[in-house]
Amino acid sequence: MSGMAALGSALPAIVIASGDGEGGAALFGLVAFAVPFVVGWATYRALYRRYRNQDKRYLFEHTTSATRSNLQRWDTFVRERKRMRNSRIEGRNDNEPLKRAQSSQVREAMGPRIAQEERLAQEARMAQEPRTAAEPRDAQVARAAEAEREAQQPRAAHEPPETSPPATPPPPATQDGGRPEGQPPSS
Amino acid sequence: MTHPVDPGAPSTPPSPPSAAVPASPDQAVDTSTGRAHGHDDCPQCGSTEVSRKGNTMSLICGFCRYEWVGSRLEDTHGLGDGIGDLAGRSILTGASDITSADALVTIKCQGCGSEVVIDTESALQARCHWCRSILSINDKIPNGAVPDGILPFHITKEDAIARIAAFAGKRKFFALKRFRDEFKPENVLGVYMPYMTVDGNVNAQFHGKGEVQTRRYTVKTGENSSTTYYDANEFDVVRDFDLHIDDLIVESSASRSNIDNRANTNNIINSILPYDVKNMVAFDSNYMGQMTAEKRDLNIDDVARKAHGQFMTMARESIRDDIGGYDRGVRWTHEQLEVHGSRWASVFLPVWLYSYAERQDNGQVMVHYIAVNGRNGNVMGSVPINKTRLWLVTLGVTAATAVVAWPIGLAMLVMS
Repeated sequence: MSGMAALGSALPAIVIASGDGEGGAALFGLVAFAVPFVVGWATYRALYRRYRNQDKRYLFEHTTSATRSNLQRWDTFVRERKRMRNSRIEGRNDNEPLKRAQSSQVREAMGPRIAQEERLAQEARMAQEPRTAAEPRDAQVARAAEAEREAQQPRAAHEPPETSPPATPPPPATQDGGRPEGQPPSS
Repeated sequence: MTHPVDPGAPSTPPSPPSAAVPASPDQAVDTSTGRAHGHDDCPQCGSTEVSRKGNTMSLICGFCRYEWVGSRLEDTHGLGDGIGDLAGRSILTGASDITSADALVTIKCQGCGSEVVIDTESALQARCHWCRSILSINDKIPNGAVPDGILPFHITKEDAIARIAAFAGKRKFFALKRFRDEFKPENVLGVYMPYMTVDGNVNAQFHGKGEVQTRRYTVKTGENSSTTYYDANEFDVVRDFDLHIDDLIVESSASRSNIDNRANTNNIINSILPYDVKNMVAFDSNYMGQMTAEKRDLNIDDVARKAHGQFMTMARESIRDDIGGYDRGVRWTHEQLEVHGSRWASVFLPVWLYSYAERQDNGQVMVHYIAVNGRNGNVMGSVPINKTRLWLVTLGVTAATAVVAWPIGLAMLVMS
């Protein structure tokens, strides 16, 4: 019965679509030839579904309570599109929530675990800070020592070459050698 | 654990505890009773002859007729509150990871001292074979058999039989002959199925393109043909929002969560969800009575992926009303869900189940279920089909349509 009803509703549509003329009549003839198979397939499918209910499922997205809040929207005009043939946007999926988007990502935050990790990282950073703070001071000491040495160097240059090296060892090299004073060290 | 109140309505504790969201790092919400397994006495007279009163939420002592109602889990542990404050996983004791595979539990009877074994795969009570007192599993055990809550049956067996008979009665003509001959809805069984309820505190972010139609016009392309065109403005669409999800239900039995329509009919049991889990009471073996139960065998890690996917679907569904202005629709290209926190509880839900095993042409056995929601009576089922009869009818319909359509089509072809 449902097949016949489908046929009844399909025929006027076919007549309209085929239009007039010889080509339209031929197209209508071919469509009329295919209609019984379509109706048969639809009948089988409808009856099978009624007995087996394979399409039934828990409609959780409709029945589960969900409260939305803090909604933020961004709608940015991109361009105007003209002379499109489709009445809907290509690849529309906003009405198919079960289908995942091209890029889909779920992340689970482990709150306390993350908080703990952050606390440990913070403690490590705090322990690090005195050492990094000491570095500019060390560099400053090294620069002062170098300036003092340079001031002594011309005098030493006039001394005979066979004189022994200075008793104090040269200052250790610093990583920020040559850096203008007051400029932060590059990381 | 339990206290006497008016029967028929779940009890409310005198002062709800403020421990709805645990502050401790382990995120455990304690639902253990601290009671030893064995006698689960009547608070009035100490008898173990306790059963459910009809299809109400009340328990009644068979000896002194004293009645009381178990405590409602939503009230005692604030499960409906504080979803927005959830951080990380909060796990009720009954939903903790399964750490033991031992299904047999030996209980020493406090009445006579004998030892009684309970197979927790399907039961959580047994009667002492010496002194006849009822022994119960009174606290959580590490094999996952004892849930946090239970929703007792509300639909009676007679009612379930009538609903199953009516469902199958409407699907007789194409049903397998053996199924029709052997159909006995009296064989329906009441069973408690294991599920988890999960609350979610999530943030969703969607990116995509949306179009708003600005013009629709039809252009003539020939003497008898025309084409319709559309102009539209295209927008970049971004939505960012929080979603508080309350009591999503997820299967926690591996065999039931495997939903494959080609190999089983588990979708039938899935389709009778949801339940009124807000009314679940703290688990008490006395609510089960003669009903069997299926033991949980999945942990939260096993079902979290599925639950998160369902969170995403719910987020997508919840934003639909906000993008209605895009009359040509929206194409989401990126979706991102951040699960800030979730709260998990295990629960027994009541199902009336009628099953029929069909041996298929390929030799495999397909078990067809007709299931009735034990709380609201929703019924859904799978009836094995007599395919020969279905094909004959299909061919008949096809032939009848051909008798009408083909002469018309032939005439048109000849005319052209």
